[in-house]
Amino acid sequence: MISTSTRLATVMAVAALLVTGCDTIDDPIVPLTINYNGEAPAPEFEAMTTGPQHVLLEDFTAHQCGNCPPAGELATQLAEEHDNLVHLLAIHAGSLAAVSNAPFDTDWTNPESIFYWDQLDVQANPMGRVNRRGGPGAVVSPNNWTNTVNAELALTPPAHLQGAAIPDPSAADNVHLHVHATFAETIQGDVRLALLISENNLIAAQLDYGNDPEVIPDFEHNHLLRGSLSGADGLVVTTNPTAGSTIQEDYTIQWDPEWVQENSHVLAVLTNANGEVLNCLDLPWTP
Amino acid sequence: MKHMLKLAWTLAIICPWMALAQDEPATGQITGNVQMLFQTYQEDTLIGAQVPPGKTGFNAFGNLIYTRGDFSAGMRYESYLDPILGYPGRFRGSGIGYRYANYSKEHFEVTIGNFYEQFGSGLVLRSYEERNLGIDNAMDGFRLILRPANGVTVKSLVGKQRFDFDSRLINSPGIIRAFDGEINLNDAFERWASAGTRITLGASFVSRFQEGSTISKDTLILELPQNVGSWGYRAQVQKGGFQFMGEYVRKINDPNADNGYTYRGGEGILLNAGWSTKGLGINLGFKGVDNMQFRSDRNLQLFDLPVNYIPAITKQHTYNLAATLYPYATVVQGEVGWSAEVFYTIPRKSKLGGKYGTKISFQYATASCLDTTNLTGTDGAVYGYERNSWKAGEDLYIRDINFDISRKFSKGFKAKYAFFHFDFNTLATPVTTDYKGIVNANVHVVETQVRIKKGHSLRTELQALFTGTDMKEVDGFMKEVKQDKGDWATVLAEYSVSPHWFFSVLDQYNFGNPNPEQRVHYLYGTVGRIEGAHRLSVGYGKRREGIFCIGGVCRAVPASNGFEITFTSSF
Repeated sequence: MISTSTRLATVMAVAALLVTGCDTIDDPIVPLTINYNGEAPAPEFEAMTTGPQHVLLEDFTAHQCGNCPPAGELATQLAEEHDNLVHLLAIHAGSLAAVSNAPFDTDWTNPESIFYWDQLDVQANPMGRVNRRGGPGAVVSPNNWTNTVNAELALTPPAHLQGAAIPDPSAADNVHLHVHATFAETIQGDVRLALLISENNLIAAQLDYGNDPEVIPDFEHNHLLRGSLSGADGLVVTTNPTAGSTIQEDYTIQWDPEWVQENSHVLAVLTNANGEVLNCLDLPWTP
Repeated sequence: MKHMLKLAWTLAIICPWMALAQDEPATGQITGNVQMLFQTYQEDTLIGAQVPPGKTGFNAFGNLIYTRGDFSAGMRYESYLDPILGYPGRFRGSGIGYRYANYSKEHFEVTIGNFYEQFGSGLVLRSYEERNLGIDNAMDGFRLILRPANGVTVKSLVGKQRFDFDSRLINSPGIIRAFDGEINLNDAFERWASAGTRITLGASFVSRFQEGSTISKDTLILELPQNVGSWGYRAQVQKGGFQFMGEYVRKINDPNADNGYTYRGGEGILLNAGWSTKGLGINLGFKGVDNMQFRSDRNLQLFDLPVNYIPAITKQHTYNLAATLYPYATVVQGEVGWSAEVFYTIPRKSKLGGKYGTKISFQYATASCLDTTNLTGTDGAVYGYERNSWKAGEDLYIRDINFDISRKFSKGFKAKYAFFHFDFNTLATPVTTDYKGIVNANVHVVETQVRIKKGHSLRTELQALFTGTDMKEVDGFMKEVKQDKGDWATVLAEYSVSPHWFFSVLDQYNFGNPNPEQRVHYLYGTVGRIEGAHRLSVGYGKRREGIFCIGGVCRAVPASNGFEITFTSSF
């Protein structure tokens, strides 16, 4: 017959297994952290009490989207009209961005572009977001880009950004990124900072229904979203910041050798808890 | 543990020789069996037969089991020199692939080394061997079974699972810890002993430990659970001709290769109810599984290291065309299905039943995808989808309707007719590369068995499979085109001269292939001899490439052409 102690040991073993045998993870997302490891101290920025509202214009495009080049031209025109205030991202995503036979055999999509595409309430090319006003799902058709961009430019920004992108003179692959934010008003909830890389002068095929022939084999792709240094959603840098408060984030990242640094931009995008852009800045390259 | 195992093996090796030498049964008994399969390969471009570099394959194993009183120990020696095509190609060499020692008393049983185990229907744990598929996920560790009271059984085990074989056993990286408790109320409680209703209740818990830290997915970094738990409850009720079995299982977040490393929990239900009386039987079944695939290595798929087993809702067919062309494999990521089956025997000496009675059976089984909504954004990346209900989703995976009637007409002659209809989704179970979508197929089978004279009998099967048609544009015109590889026929004749000889010829002919050059005869002949518990057979011919399934688990088998020699023996 089984002894009482054996029964007790069995029950205890079973109980121990039940308790320790499951790692239930309610939120498996691990916050991404990037550190600064430059030899020189990080530059210091003064609080910025005034400044303009910058505009992030995201152009959802694709190399096999024949109607997309005119939308890209409109975006470029808006950026040129409002120099250093309107920042473009050409985001290749959707079925028309798929890789197929030559000459459309380059994959311009990336995890960030797919992530942003998945956020859209209406998934179509060409389509845009302007400062993600209304949330990440809200889209603006190219016909309304001009008015929406102008409306955004007229706003008083809730936060001001300053910063710099500094290649490390001693480690060629390292780039130091510095972003300083001054909050002009109190913001509720988490504030995220995303650092997005775009690249100009990428030569590859593009379908253009307005061109003859429609396939342009050596189209110049500009402002093309290449990736991020902080995840598409960005990192939470502060929560419930009050008016007048400041933060500074200093990072060192290893530059992807596939991205030509001279042709690239690092865009700092500060968003609120609803995903709307508080302000953004094209970080100036500083020697 | 190594010392204990060495001791057990020493006992297992020495004791049987003592027994044989002294011829004293009191010292124990040794039993075993051997199976060898040798195959040659010839090139055959018409059927795409492959020829491995060694031009032959050899799979063999032999079991030796020593038993003395409450103690038993055994081992299986295996050889893959080189493995038969269609078997896991990584199985190599010769060595001991299974070894164990077991001690069993009235109230407990201990096993060390390898063992097979199943809790309930296997939805949370099934360690088993299906040699024909090359599946062997034997546990390697310790198992303790306690029977503390009448009708009460508690099993607990800790071990790793067999993963590979390279002249020795190679185990999984993950560790399995599990226990199962079962109580038969009628045996456990005196007042239930004479009850007309017999009830058995059970519960299981299985946990896998596998090291892991984080994975990157899209732009996210996700924390991996190192300990994944799965548990289930089950009940079995039987009263008179009625019986019911139900099992409900869950699993916590288990990001793995099968589910795209999503963190959704798993859930499953299995229900079976049956009623039978003399000459009539009815069975009803329901199965719903959602993300319940569970392995000792989160990064593996297909046949490798399953901890559990998800049974098929469809019947496993045995007739050549019904079994090999469109065999359904359980979609382990998730499916919902049900089945209904009726057996009826028309009484003997009745007008319809004939002198010996007539047996009829009918089955309807279907499985579909789950009713789900895909999540988007971060939730989509982390959790994948939400299940809305246990109703069938939009995509049909399989509809299997089959019917058969059999009658013995005289002492020397019996016959059977069987019909099968399949609506088979080749996207869910990719048995063919020639067709994507639902194949509609009808199979007719006539089987006869004739006793020619004493000791001589002839069994034949005439089978035909007809696929449906699709409208397709051919040379600028819309035409009806046969689905997949079109129609097939199979003829099988088996002649037996008992008790020693048997001869068989099988011809599988793809007479309706839309491509006339592919209308191939797959002819295969076998001759064999049986001497008591020993059986030797030699076969030669062509084997079609395809999917070979057992119990809803399937493996791709390449085409082959050549000799096949098998020998089996037990002692």
